[in-house]
Amino acid sequence: MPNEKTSRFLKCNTSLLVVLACLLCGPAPCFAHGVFIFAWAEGDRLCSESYFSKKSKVRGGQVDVLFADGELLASGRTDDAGLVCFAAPQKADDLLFVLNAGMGHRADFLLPAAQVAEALAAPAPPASSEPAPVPLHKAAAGESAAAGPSWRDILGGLGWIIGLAGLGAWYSSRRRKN
Amino acid sequence: MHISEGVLSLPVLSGGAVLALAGLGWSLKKLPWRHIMSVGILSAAFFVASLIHVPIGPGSAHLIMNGLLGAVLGWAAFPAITVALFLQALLFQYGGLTALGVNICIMAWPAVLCGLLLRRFFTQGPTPWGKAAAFACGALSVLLGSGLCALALALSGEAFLTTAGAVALVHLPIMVIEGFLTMLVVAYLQKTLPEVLRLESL
Repeated sequence: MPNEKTSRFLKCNTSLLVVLACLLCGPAPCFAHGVFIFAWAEGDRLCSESYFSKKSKVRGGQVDVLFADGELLASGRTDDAGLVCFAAPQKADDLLFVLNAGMGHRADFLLPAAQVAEALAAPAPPASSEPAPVPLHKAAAGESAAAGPSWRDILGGLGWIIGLAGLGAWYSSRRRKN
Repeated sequence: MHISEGVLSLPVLSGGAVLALAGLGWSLKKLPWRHIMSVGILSAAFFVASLIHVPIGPGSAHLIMNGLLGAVLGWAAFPAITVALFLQALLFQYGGLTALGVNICIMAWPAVLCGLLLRRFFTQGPTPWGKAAAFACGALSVLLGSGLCALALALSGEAFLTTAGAVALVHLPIMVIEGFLTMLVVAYLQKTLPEVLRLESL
């Protein structure tokens, strides 16, 4: 009976849709699992912050700072807040911050020479341990990446999958007709 | 479990791409085209599952759901996972596009293998063995994936045992959760629509 078959088929897909809907309604789907690193000049130092998401910082991840020609300037490990700072180099050059957070998680960030020059020109900060204010551009870039995938990305991806499945269904129906 | 861009060596990347293409080619041949919508819906489930972060254990881990896809779809899990991983890399920056082949191998091959080996226990109807097999399918797919992830990293220079231990430890809660999740979904499908579990033979 084709009608019964069709209704069973619809039921089958409805059940699977229920699984999908449960997943979408699960714990707020906004936790990124990409890994990110951001670097900026802070006083006479160059600092970097590494994170999986806004709430989940990379702890104990290795950060290597490389010159444009690949020469290693410095290495360090991130603290519990995902931060690690380095002394500015002698020359202003583009610097590549490479994060290895372990288990295949790697990210990099290019700090342009202009910002390195900023750190070189800055006087050494007073000895007080007051944390420096986070630069605005740093906050903005960090926020957008740490917020994780947006609903637009999620729905866009779902749209692609459904579109591809639709194409497949069209192909299959043509094949059956022929 | 998504390996980023620039971590793996060229031979590992190419090997992963070849193995992924081989699996994809074979699975497309065996794809139950009439049930392509079910494949699409489960691909979508895999795509969003990785957004659900599990804040248990020492690291940053998320649901994977490859075991569920293997259990329900068998070979058809391969294209479903491939499409979802491609879109995750493109839209979420999970893993890298050059590492896509390796990431497909890490998640799709264990799913297909576990599905093919264990499905026979739960396609016949609800039995205690079927439940155990569904749980094992969900959990083992993640465990095997962790092993493959560590192997890919080891072939690119990291120490295998340390990495494998670390990846498996981080994914231990995920294995338990996905084992139960697969068991629940399979039990539900067995009761309501057992033919979903036999897509390939339809």
